[in-house]
Amino acid sequence: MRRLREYGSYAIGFASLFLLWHVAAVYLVQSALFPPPGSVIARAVALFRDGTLVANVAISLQRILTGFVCGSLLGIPIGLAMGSFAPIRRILDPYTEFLRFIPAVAMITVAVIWFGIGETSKLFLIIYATVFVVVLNTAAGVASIARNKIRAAQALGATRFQIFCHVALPATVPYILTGMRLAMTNSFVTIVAAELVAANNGLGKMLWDARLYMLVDDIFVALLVLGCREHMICPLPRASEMSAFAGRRATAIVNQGGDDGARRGRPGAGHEDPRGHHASVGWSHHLVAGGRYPGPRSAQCAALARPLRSRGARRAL
Amino acid sequence: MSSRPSSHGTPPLVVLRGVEKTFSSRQGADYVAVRGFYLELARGEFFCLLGTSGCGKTTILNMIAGFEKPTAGVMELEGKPIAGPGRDRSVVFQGDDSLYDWLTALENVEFGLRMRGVPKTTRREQAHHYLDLVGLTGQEAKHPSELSGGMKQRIQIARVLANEPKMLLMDEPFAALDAQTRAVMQEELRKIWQATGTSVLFITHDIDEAISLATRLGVMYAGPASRLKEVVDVELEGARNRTDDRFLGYYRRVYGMIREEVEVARRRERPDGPR
Repeated sequence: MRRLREYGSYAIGFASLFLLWHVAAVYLVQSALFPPPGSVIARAVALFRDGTLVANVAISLQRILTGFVCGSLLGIPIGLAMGSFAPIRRILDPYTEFLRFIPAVAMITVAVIWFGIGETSKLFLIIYATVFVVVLNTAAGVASIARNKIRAAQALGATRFQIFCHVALPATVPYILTGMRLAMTNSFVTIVAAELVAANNGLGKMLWDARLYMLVDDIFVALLVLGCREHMICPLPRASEMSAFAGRRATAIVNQGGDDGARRGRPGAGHEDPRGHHASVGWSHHLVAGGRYPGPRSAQCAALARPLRSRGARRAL
Repeated sequence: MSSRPSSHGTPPLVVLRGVEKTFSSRQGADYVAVRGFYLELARGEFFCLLGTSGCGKTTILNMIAGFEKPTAGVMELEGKPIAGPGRDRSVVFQGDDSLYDWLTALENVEFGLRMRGVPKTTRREQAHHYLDLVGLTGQEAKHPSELSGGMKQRIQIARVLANEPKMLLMDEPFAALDAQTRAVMQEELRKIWQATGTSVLFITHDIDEAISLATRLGVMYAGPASRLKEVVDVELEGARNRTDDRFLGYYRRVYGMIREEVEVARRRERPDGPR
């Protein structure tokens, strides 16, 4: 019953969207440049029937998926290494801090010059759009592992390698998935832009051609398809769905060029920090019995991770 | 020395001699947390370490656990220097962030056994046994996020017990619990201690808790450069009654010691404040 009501309200939401569009197009704008949903859907059906729509969507998706998978496979180990070992982080920080602020869209220029308008340039661009987001989220995830998780494992007799496999990695998975999800969004932006500028096929190319020949319906079909991508392909679970895996929710920590509240902090100068459960330099640093506590910067990570935990039912004993 | 264990004859389990811990800071001024710390812990005893906040109780525990290295002094477990963390000394932490959210209660408890390569059926059996012992029967399949604060601390306790350590190190494990739950947990911990015979070092700043649990308790000076001020043998047998005259006698005595240190700490924090 509740399900039915949920789906019912969704349906009303979607219907109202199309209704508004229809009213705006037919009664308010009344221009050939803004087609009503009816004619756009009719055009979409026609393009679907003759195969061009499917072909264009397929090629764009294929580019995104290849680049996305390659970028993630590259980004996850780098992120894990950066989060785990401070020297590696210091060495790679300049790269990520510099390159991640150059939008992948801006890199289309050099990509086309270097690799032409074929698949290689698309692959390069999607990897570029993916890798930094994944790296930064993975590293932030590793860095925000609670120190006590590592210490507990040590006191239970786990080796360094075991701690990595059985504690650091699973604790980071929600962050990795969040990074991948953000990367997927970036990839869509990038591929459309890349295909607009230089490509022989794909959704972006379809948009550009339609503009060239003033096929307004075709433009709207492409836009409609782009708008529906969330519902068409969902290879990555949403953050809320990850709670099943981790027993808690993960947040988007770092987006490319965006605010990164949980930047891997530098070790601070705190004296004694007995309640500093979260450390900021990476799990491997918790292994070392050193004379310096991780500093108060860790509070940022804690603030992010805290309310996400302990959402479970609070039952009395 | 007043820090001698009450049971004579057998060699002590843990020995701390002249232990000092200095934390270096980037601002240059190093902080001496503890200095000249002497303590011997006997096998099977329940030792509570009391002190004002920031006096270095946790530092001592972290050093015995092997998470921190002393800057000076000797630390031995069964006559061998403590070099790092090991499964002979298991730690129960104050918060629940040491539990593995992605594992069920049962999997959390068998974590140590799994790391050691104990076969699945054996470790399942053992984990069930310890979950029963801490009163978590029926909660095996739940994740920590689905359990209450008290239950999470029970998982922590079961997890370390399953590893059969020589020593339990407990860092204010019940501090975050409500008063009723805490009282229940204290009672159960005492029962578990009596059943298993494991040595316990228990850190708290709750005098009542210390007297309820300990066979011996130590009060530390206010930090910095703290050490043990006094050690008290708690000679109360059986179930401890908080309204019992002898219990109250201990309470008054320990309260007096701590009160002085609270004053010292307060004056150090605000040198010009009211006396």
